[in-house]
Amino acid sequence: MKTNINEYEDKETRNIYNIKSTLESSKKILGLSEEIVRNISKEKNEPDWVLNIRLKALDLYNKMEDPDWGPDISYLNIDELLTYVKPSTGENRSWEDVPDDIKEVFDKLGIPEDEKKNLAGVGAQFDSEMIYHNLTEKMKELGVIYTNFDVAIQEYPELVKEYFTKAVPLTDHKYIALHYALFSGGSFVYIPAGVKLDQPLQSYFRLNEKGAGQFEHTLIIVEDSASLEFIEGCSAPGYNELNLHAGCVELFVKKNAYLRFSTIENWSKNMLNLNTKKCYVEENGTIEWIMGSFGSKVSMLYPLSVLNGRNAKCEFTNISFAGKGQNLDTGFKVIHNAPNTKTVVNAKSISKDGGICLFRSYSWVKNNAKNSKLALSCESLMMDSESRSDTIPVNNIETSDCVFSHEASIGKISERAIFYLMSRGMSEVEAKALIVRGFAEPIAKAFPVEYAVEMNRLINLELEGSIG
Amino acid sequence: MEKILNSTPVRTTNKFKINDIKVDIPDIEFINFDDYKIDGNYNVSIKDKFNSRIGLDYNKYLNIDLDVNKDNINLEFNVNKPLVLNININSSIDSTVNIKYIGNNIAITKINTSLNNSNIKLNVINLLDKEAYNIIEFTNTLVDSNMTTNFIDIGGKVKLSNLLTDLNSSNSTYNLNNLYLGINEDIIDMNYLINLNKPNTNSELVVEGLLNDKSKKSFKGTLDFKEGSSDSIGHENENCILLSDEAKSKSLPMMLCHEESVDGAHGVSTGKIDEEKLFYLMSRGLSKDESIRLILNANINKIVNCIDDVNLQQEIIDIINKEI
Amino acid sequence: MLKINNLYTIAEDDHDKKILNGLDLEINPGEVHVIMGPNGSGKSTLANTILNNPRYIVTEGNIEFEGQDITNMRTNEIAKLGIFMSFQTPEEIPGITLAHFLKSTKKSITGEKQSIVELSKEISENMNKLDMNKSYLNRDFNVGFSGGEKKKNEILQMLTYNPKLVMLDETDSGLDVDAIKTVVKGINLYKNDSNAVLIITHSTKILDGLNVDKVHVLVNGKIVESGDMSLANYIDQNGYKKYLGENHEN
Repeated sequence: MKTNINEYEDKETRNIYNIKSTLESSKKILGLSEEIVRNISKEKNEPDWVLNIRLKALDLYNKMEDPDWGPDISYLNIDELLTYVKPSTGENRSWEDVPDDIKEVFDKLGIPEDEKKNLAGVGAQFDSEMIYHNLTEKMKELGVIYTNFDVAIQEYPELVKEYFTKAVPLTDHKYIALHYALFSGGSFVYIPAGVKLDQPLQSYFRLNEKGAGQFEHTLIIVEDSASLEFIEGCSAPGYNELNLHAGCVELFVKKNAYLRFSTIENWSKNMLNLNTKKCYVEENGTIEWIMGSFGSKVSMLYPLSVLNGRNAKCEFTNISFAGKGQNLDTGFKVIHNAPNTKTVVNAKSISKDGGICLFRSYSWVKNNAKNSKLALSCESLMMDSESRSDTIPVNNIETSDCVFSHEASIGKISERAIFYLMSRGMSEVEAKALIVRGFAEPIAKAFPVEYAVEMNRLINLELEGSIG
Repeated sequence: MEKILNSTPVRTTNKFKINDIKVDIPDIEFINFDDYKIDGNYNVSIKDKFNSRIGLDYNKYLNIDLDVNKDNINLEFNVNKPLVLNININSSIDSTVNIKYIGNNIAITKINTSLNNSNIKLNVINLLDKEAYNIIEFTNTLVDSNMTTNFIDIGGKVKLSNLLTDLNSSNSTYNLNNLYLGINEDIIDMNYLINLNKPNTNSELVVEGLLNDKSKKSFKGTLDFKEGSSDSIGHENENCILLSDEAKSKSLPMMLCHEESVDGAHGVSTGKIDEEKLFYLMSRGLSKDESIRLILNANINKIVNCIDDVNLQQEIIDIINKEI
Repeated sequence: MLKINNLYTIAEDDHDKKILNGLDLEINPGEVHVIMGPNGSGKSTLANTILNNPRYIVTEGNIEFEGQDITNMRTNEIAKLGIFMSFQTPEEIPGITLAHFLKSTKKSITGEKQSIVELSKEISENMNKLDMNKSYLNRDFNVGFSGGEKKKNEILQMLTYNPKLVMLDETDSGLDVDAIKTVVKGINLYKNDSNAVLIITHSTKILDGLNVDKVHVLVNGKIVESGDMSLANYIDQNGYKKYLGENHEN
């Protein structure tokens, strides 16, 4: 069966994400088989224990069924997918060494510029491999590790072995099994005890090849009393063939540690984004998820936080914007597994031009989570009646010593507000854009400034495309 | 026999164990409705083939057609033998229908209400004994009508309820006020779906619950704003107070929306009594226990007050207060 | 009557958050005290701590009422001693009518057996004085009440219980001129030589028409200056700049 995406339609306004590098890849692998998995492992010169994980995952993938809930993804044909695409460059420590046409793509996306702006380190992945990683000298001296995940397997095998697959098991779901069979690239971050980074680390993921998959693995360990802000950005040019992103993020936040994990996702609208993220939080630790989802054809993404220690905290802030042909099935999961644990969720979604935003959540408060508090809030904005906005929260409360509340609302842009703004000289489009930006503002504030600006720009692009 | 019942309209992953309920329902081997004497002038008959959305099927059932032509109808069932019952309510005037259950056996009921240009209040009061079963399915189809269901679900160790309401014309309103009580090892499973199919329809669900001992409840409530339901309002509020640390509460308040200009909201709160409220009452001289009891009774009153019969109100309040 | 010695408090949900930092205060029978201070200075915390709201934890110092240490007493026991607080945001209790609420709380707060007829008459008179519509008695407690009606309801409770010490926590905030007048009228009806009033406020509007004995300025959990009504007028004109400045230098 030929993968077909008729709904896909690109916009001129999306131009900067649409730069297609003409660079020839040095190696492309189509489809999935044991031989292919062995070849990828060989290409990366991996130890046997890693190969064994890949093979076990492949076996699981072949045995597992697609989920019987959520968006239809049955049209995904793995045999037609480029499961490994190696860019014709190794990993570079200096931006100067990155080949010109790849550099041009990232230059236009503003990546090297970002690095100059107060970042402790930057990484960039192009298709299946990281092509750039750099960490400031100061960070290296503090014992911070920030490197390509493949390199980490070679250089820090003990650390990787201790944590890899420990947050997200191979058996979680079918597409995580696929991920573990094919994983390539991604970042490994280790923040030693007591080290507090006052500047963020940033990884940028670019899927350039059409009809390809990206399976990066990100593993972050924040040791006792350490602190980190990690930012990931994702984008791809638009094609008429299906692309697949099945990444995995494993996070470990130790005692008194802090991690803020921000994602701004602007995959092209031919992308199937089946991502898996999970975080373990120990005593007094804090995980803050900040997510902005704008791109992809279909997204299924529900980061899970497991609050395993007393006073552990989880904050989840998300905004999704679904336009024409998009089905963004996102949300979050939390397990309260210790006393005095706390969760605050603030999720917003905007759907327009037939886009679908679906928010799922799962909150499980175990009996041992005494004196725990959960406050969940979801708001959706419908721009028209072709679109959909659904909320499906599952709440499972197993102790009486808990305060749980969930509020959700669906609304539209108030006609009165539009009239008010138009009476102040704004056009209808400007008025709507202003109101939507206001709706998104509390979320935008949580992003680093450059990303907040970027997010507002994306909102404006999305709105002008439809209303103008 | 253990059965999988009361499936949700939109599935979520089975890992969450909320799509359906697995529960033991005793087999009903021989159905004889001779003991059920229905007072009043209704069309009563025994019919074949009983099928339900909940998932229970039987060969025979007792059928009552209520063509409502007077103000008040009172039906009381003393369920000391298995009861498989279907009630059809067709009304063209304003009226109140009271259905009350007592007894210690299993009651399986379908109530189909089809209204055209009518106002109906349906009060269903389950005061069965502790070991009984109450399984009930409401189907409401409303055209130019207003309906309120007040459902007090107290008795029985297994309480399964399923509700489907279709609001099929503009300016129709459906409200549900639901109070449940879980004690011992009670299993409570509620699966409600309101389809707002037309413009300017309204629906409000208020569900109040108290869970004590080792009782377990699942609440699944869905408001579905269909395309074309512009300017409709749907609100859903579920409040569950856990009185025991061994009680368990699951909820799935779904909201599906395919229309731009609607007002949809749901709120869920679960757990202990709001501490600020406790402080306020204690600052007015009430002890902690008195304050808790006052708040519990306030929650109960909210629903019970919707029933007009003052004696029945007091009977319900007394039964609940005995259990908590 | 009320004596607070060197009181320190922290927040229950954030032990690092210090709110009161060595507060001293003494109120005698017959007096009207006013506490003013910028947002977050600890004004509401003070009233809540006197009533032992579990949201705040006393780490040092104590609170005495009529010679008895009440620092760790249960809220309802403190209320029974005769301390009443008018809440900044009074609770709503759907399902319980105002009449039911007043009757059951009056009984527990005073411990007296009062005939329903007598109590109803008393409540009814007080409602007249406060320009409250009697239909409110049969409405659920505070449900659907406007901001002003909720505050009047607090004053109604005050008159009904007739406590020894009244704390008014921002009772005037968000009220229009007429409603403030009604509140002041209520306070004057209540006030006599043997009871006392502690007013927590942002503005001096509520103080017009009251006989104020002492004004205290609370900054960062500590009383930084006390004086008479002229101090309140000074703050009305000049704000808290003077005190904040001093604190920043420290």
